Amino acid sequence: MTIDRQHLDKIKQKIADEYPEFKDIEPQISEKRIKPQESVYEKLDMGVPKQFINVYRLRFERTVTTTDKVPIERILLVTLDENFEIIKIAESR
Amino acid sequence: MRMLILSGNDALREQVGDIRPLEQAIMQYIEARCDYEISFCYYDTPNKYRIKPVAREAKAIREYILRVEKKWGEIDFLLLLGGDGVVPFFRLDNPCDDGDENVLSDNPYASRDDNFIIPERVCARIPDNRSGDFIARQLTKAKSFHNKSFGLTARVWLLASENVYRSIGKPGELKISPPVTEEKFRADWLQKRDYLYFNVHGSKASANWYGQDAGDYPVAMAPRNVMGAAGVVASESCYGAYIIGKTQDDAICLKFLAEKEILGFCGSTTIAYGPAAPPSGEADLLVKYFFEYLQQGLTLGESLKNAKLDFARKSLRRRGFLDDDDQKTLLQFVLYGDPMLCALDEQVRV
Repeated sequence: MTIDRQHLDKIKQKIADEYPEFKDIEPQISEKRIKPQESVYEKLDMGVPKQFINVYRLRFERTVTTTDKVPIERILLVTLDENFEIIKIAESR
Repeated sequence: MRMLILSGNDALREQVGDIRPLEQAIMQYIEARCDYEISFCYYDTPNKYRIKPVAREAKAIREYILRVEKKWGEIDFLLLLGGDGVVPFFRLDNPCDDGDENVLSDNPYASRDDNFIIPERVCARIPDNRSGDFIARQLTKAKSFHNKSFGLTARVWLLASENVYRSIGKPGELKISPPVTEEKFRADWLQKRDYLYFNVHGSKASANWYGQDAGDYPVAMAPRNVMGAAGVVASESCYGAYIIGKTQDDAICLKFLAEKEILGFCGSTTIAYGPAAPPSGEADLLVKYFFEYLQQGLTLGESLKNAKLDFARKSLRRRGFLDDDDQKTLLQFVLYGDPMLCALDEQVRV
């Protein structure tokens, strides 16, 4: 299932409101099927990992320039669950 | 507890010239740390373990460490002497789709199996900064306890930074950029401190770190602002720990390490990530845990290792998996300096 226009517009609106520097940026969308991470769970003694999980990643990207003329790549990553709900938002430092 | 100090003889000579004074400093360090079993060797010369010397390649050096461990016993602390030209960083596949071709990482040196995301031993590095004296000085670092911290954040990340800084100081103490810029930066902000925290922008192409307010990205700090600084530094800035081809003149992390009372530097080799506001995630969460363990009196090395383990556990509990930027965070953060130092000791000295 791919993300529909309605959900995408809603997310873009939220990003425009909360992260105005990424307003009007068209995100790159990818779908990921996350395999159970057995070796990570095992090394951390955390029992049994969850089964396959589908997530969507929206990557907003733009280049800005600092006051001393250095270009910096600004990236905003939005992770969505299978129901297109936002799980988390992270931005480059 | 066992600690292996590892370097490359040929490569170290290439970077710093005469290595005899440094070897002497290492021997004095080993004698002084009689509470630990410490071994020093070069991966490229015949050694007491009768392990065949290896070339200056990350994979071969990791294999060498595993062979030493087989003969000597479990290594708890690993200290790499030299920068990328002496003990190369691993170039790992970048889990994130961003501008970094690879993730420069020391995690594989800290791992006994093929899962490099979760470290099993402490691993730190003392970059060479093209000077044997620079390396030797990291092994004799000392500072007094001041019960004071410093923090600098980009304005846009104030809320996120307050949540991290809370573990080492009062959030109201945080300096904010803008209005803070390199011109307004006062050297005494970094002096007589125990912890120094930075949540600002960084770039591979620049020596400076940057603040942000909407579309304004001023220079928040430059290497020249580091004078008489003290404490343990943790920086979330992109490329904060990037040292390839750099010296203390064009890398703030090396400038910090050149300071007499800076015990260590924890930062990212590549593009790092974090949230704009709490709850803490990615670099924010890792640095928060790092400070919390330092506050409990753990060594610098144990604090970063434990921070990575707690970070992974927390991320798994939250979502059930480590996503791309979680994985990158775990791989990209490195520790520079003597991993056996503690921030809390009244008089930290070797």
